[in-house]
Amino acid sequence: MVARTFKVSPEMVTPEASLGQLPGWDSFGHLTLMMEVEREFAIRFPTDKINGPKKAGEICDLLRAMQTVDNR
Amino acid sequence: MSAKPLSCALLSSFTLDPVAGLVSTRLESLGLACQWFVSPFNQYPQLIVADNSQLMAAQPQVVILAVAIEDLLEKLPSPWTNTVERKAEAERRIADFLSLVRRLAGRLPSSAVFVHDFLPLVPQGNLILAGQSGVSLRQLALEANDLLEKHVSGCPNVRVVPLNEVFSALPHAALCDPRFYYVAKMRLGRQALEALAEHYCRLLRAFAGLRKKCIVLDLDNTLWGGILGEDGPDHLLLGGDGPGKAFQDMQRILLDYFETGTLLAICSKNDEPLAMSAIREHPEMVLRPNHFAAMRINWQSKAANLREIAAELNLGLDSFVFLDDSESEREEVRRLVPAVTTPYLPEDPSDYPTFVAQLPYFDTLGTTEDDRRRGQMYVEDRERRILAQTSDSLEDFLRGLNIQVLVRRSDSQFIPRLAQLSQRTNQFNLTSRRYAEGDLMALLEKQNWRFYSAMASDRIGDSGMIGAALVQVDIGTATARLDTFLVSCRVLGRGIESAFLAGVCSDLRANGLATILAEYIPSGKNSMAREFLPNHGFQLAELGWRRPLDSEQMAWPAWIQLKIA
Repeated sequence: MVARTFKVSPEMVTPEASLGQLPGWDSFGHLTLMMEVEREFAIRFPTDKINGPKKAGEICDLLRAMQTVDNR
Repeated sequence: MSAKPLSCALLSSFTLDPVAGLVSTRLESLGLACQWFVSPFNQYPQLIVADNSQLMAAQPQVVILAVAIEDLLEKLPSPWTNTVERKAEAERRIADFLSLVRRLAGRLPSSAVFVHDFLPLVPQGNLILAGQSGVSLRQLALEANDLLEKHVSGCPNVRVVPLNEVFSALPHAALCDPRFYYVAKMRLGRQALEALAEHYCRLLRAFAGLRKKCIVLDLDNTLWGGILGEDGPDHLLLGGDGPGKAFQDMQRILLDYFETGTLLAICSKNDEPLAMSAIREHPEMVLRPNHFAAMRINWQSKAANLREIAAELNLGLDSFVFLDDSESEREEVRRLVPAVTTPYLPEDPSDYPTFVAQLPYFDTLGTTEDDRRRGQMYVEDRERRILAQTSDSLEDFLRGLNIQVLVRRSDSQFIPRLAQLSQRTNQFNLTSRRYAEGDLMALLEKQNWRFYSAMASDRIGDSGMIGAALVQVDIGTATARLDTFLVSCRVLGRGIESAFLAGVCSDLRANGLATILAEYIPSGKNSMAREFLPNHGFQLAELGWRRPLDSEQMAWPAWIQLKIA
């Protein structure tokens, strides 16, 4: 999803790929990405989490944490 | 299709940056590149006013100004305790905004400026009371929109973006996502951004002149309800007070397209005499034979018929949109003639009128006299083709037409049509240079550019302005450079292009020019113009083709009467 949003090759998107480092992933790109993730996973991040994750891996962590909450 | 990217500027009172990326991605798939200048949020007044701003330096072709009413009327006095002050302050800010719009339009006269109208995005509380104050945000927005509409009618290069309609498919609550507003000053939510991006794409496509030219229609269950061959003409579902009215309403919308320059054609598997008499005589038909530029009513495959229609109208297959209720027919067309745009038609005919009205392929920023007459002119072309088939020889036919060509130096009133021809003409176009109205305006202001137009008419009808030439002259060396020379595909095959060139050359010679230079730039679509220059006495020179103007006059076919004004 990160690769698609920023139009970079998927190999560039490691868990360490991050805001400011990946081409296109700036503060506005970040908003687009978070919107895309919300749509894909049909979830809604709380306001204080939108600017939380700065790396691809951290977005996955956040998603996992939110899904655990849902499953309880 | 234009090779250089469209330069666009987005000026906004809130964060709107993601929309630029969405628009670029969508347009790339259509082969249209755009380059964005996005203002830092809420810096639009400085960018518009300052002499040396990045905006003025960029000279964008398209400027979008998106100011939210919540931002413009931020922190107004209370509607309850300071009603008078609130109203006065709101009016002052709106007037300032309008004069800013005028300033922007005046400083970038050759750019197209699109201004968002005002739509309160944040749902208001206490609806009953708010209405009573007379100065609620909603009421102020309504007044502001009125003023904006009036104001814009005085600025020819400004158009309004009607947000209410742009967002019509979305629930109001989805427009704004407060989370993104509070973290990033972004007033629109994801769905609203996408709807807006879709609308911007339409604006930019219209600006670039990328509109489709012809809607091809099936008959049974598309243009009317029922199957003519089985139900008979008296039992078609068409008009009246019931569901048949949907088909009639759709026909009215198609008539609107016809009257604004989109061609209509028929492609149907049907019995031709029966179908023709229904089109001609059914009392509830809105569209009649004289609305269709071409008709293929037979038992051939639709793909073959579409190719024939394209050949008959002399248009590329990519100019066509095909509407048919049958998915298997549509699938076949998509597979065999993929250049034709074949959208899904809604399952339910009640949805046809809205669907057809919202087809995104025919947007234009304005219509010209030629647009309003185009449908009629193609129908006249159909008559000419019939006449050609019944004449003894091609030359007999051409002599019998009494073709008259009027070539004249043109001024700014011809610019809309000139821009349109330069954007739409592919086949007989020596250089395929594309110009927007603003570009042409700027050229015409230079003393050394001349525009020529060619109008054609014959005994069947008036074809309007069908040729355009742009010439750059150098008085010092008595040399003219033919920058653009094009003739509409509608009139090709009659020698009109030769008469036009002869007219242009004769006027240039009368103005003291001795030599004309010209180029042929292959575009992949203009091979029919390849031999045009050598065939008219041009010699290959170091930079293209060259011909003296003072030698013998250029010849044109004897069946054309040429007038130069």
